[in-house]
Amino acid sequence: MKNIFIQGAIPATLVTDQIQRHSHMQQIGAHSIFLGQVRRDEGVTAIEYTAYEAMALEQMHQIREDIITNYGLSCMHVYHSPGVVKTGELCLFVFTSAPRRKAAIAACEEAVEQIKAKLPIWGKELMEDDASQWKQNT
Amino acid sequence: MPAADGLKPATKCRSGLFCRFMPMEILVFGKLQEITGSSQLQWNEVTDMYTLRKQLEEKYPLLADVSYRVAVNKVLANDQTVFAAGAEVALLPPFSGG
Repeated sequence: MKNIFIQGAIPATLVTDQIQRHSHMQQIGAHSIFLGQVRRDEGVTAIEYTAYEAMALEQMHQIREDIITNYGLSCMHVYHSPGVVKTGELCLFVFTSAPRRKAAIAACEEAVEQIKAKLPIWGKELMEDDASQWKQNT
Repeated sequence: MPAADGLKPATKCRSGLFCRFMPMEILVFGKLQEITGSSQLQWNEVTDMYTLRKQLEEKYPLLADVSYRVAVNKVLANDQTVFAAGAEVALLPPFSGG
C-alpha cells in the first residue's frame, strides 16, 4: 500500500521534485496540481492532523485505482500531513498526470473531493490562546 | 518481538483462533477521544453493531449526541454488520482532512 503521509507540513520543494521526476514519462501532456494550505481563520495558528492511517491508506488505494482507471491517468500522487501544520503551510498535495489536460484537471478535482469525504483524517484547529476546536469540512 | 518463551505476545493475537474470548479492542479517533477519555477501549466481544452502539452509548451517554461512524476491519459498517471474532473496530467522527 502506497504511503501518503508526510509528518508535519508538506515542503513546497516536493512539488518541483515531483514535476522533475515525471519528465521522463513522455506520454504525459498535462499535470494538474492541488495544494491545500492551512488558512488563518479567526485565531487559528495551526491545524493538528491525526488519521486512522491503516484505513486511510486502504481507502486511498481504492480511490486512486478508480480515478486512474476512470480518467485514463498516467500517474497520480497524493500527500497529506499528519501532525501540526502552521497557517500558510501545506497540508495536502494532489498531483495528477494524463496525456491531455481535461482528464488531468477533472481527475485532480475528483481526487480532492474524495480525499476530503472518504479518508479518516481529522484536523484540530489550534488557536492563539491555547484553545482548540475540531475542524469541520464544508 | 516474540517473547522469551517463544510464544507470541497476546497483543499480537488478532486472529480470533487462539484468543476466542479475548475482549475486543476499539480504536477511538478525533473528538470522540474527549468523550471516551481514551484512544483505545477494551470491550467484551459483541456480535453486531446495534448491540455495540447501544452498549457504548450506555457507558458514554455523550456519544448519543454526536455524529460518528463505526469501521469494522477498516470498512465503514452499518447497524446490520456482524462482527467476526477478532475484528478491528474503530469509532470515527466526521472526517475533516485536507
